[in-house]
Amino acid sequence: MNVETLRLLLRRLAWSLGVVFAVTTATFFLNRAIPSDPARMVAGPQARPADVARIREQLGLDRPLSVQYAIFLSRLVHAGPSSFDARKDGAHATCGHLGPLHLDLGRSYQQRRPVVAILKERLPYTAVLALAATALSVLLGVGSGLVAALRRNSWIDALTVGAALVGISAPTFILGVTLQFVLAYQLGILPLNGAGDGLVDEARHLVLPTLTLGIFGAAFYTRMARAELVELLQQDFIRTARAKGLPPWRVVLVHALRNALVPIVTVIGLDLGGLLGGAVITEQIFSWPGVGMLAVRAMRDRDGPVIIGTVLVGAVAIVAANAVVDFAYALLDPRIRHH
Amino acid sequence: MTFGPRALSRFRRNKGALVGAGIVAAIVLFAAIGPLVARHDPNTPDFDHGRGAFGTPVGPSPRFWLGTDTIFRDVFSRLAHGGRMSLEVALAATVISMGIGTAVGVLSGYYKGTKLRVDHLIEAIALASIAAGGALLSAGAPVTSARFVAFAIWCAGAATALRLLGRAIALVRGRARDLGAADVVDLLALAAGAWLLARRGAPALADHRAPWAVVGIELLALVLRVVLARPVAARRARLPFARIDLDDALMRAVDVLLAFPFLLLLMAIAAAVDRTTESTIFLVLGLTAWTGTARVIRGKTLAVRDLEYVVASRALGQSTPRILMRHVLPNVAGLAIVLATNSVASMIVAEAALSFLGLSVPPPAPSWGRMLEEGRAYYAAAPWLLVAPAAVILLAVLGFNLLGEGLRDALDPKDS
Repeated sequence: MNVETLRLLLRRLAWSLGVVFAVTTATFFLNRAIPSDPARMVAGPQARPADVARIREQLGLDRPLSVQYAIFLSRLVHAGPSSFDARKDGAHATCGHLGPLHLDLGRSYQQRRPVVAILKERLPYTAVLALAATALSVLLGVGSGLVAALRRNSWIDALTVGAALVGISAPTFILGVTLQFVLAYQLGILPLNGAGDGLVDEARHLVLPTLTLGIFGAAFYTRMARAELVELLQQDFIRTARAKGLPPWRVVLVHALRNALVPIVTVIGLDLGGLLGGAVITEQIFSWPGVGMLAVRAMRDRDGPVIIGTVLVGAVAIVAANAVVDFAYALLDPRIRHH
Repeated sequence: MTFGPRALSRFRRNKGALVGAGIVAAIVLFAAIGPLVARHDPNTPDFDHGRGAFGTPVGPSPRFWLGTDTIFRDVFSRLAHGGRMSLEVALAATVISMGIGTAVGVLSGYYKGTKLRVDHLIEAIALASIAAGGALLSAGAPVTSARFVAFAIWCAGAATALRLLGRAIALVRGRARDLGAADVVDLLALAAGAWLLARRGAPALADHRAPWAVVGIELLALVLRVVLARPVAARRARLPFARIDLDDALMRAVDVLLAFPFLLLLMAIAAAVDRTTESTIFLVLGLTAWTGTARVIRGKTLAVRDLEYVVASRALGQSTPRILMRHVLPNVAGLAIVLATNSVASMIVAEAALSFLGLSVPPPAPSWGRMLEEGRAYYAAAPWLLVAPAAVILLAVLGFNLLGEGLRDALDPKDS
């Protein structure tokens, strides 16, 4: 890695942080635009006005918005001890930490627990679902796109193209509800919803949400892979490779597919980034306890700190995915690497 | 991309496109005529006929073509009225998002490499914010709209201050003769703003009654500046101003919007306006969904900008608006039409998703997404409650996607 690459890397990083900062700021103010009374929410419906006022003061909600924002920012990322007991250490009671770097999103109004702790619980579920769904959709999508492109204008091609078009037209809520009805209710071979207990049970619960997201994504990748490959297979360098007497699988898998993957990887990265922020609807249908479900509940409850937390997770996921895509691009496409 | 008889004949020969056009026509007809032919009110339960023996909904019958729902309302009528809402929202949102997306994309692509004054940019943001405030006010959110207006005032103040800083630097460097009447206007506007701020205090700006006076002053200053600055524009160019590449600025704004989790943003705005109506939904959808369009249109514009005849007409001294209207827009129009068709499909999905999550128009108004959600719990006992909305959503989306596909093939024969 030379100096130029390093500089680009740093600029990219700075810009990514800038985007996350902008999104966080916008969410903070957006939240305050939502008409709600957190102090009343914390105190409960039967609390006396004096208690509500006291809680409002405790939460700092009686101070000017700009001051609240400054406090929020200074707490969001700050330095602190590398090891501490959150229950005893009042100053860091709601912190999560990575070494001496503390992350503090405050306390949920509804659950009365630190937002960081809640997110930590939810993230693994969302991550597993996102990775499983992406793996399924890429394998299924690129695979069937490849088959369709190789057997162009055959009945297999027509079938694949048609299925993919129906696939991208079926929103996840229709696909998910249908799969749930058929596989879980009618046939009873998979659990209806929830997350399950223990590894095997959890894996069984993971199947339906994965299928829902995976099939939808696969339809998309099928179309993309087919379009890319159809165009690539007509190019001169493929003809040359064939003429050189390379084995057909090598021509297709190494020469054509590798080139087709460049644009596909971009989309995979962006999709994965979106999914890591929480698959809102799919998680909702199958009561999969990920970030997406948490986000919907926080929105309904107007639970400000949790809303900011979930949006932050989503923004970081998308920005990080974007950055990773840029580097994957460089790995796959030598033209970019050498510039 | 080209229009004309050849594109039309390509479209006619494309079976998928014709099927898509047929489905779209059928769905539009259903939404337009369905509510008229429906024999029941969509929101009134019929306890006499719509209620089965055990208090269960009744299935499809000559009286209730698609059966009744769990509180004995006619499913056909609800589906038709919901369809009307869904299509209205999808079309309006598409118009908004295509308008913004195309404008941003064309400007971004065409002006790539052109440096823009930062204070002008901030002023544009201020104007957009005032417009957003007005839109929110009409959507029924006075408090939130006041916040937008307050934000606009801070922006206008910042722009004026930034500009005056530039003038101050010029003054220090002994170039006082470059200054003009517009600067006096700036100074007066800033002074008036500061005076109001000092008199009413900062919190007053967040109060939705106070800031309109300041908006008035800033707007007046803006107009005066434009009028007065014209004659001295040439001299003005030598003044030091903070500048930024327009393309950079717009694409970075797109980056930020893209990183906003789409549904979360929708939910937050829907929650922010006190009362969710049809117009809230399409405004929210339209104002958030233009980023993809902007990126694609920008790419196309970049390519068009460097076409020889465009370069030639620029060299011949044709005005920029004329080049944009005569050469750039016609070239991106085909792409925009295809994108718009696909956008209608995704807007239908987005609206249905919102109502599935219970965030669209409040009950009892019918909407496809909520009907699906409500039917979900009863799919064993009353499958039509699930099948009917699922089928129309699927058909509508498929129809618009097929039509978009067909248009793409017809307008851009390269791929087919």
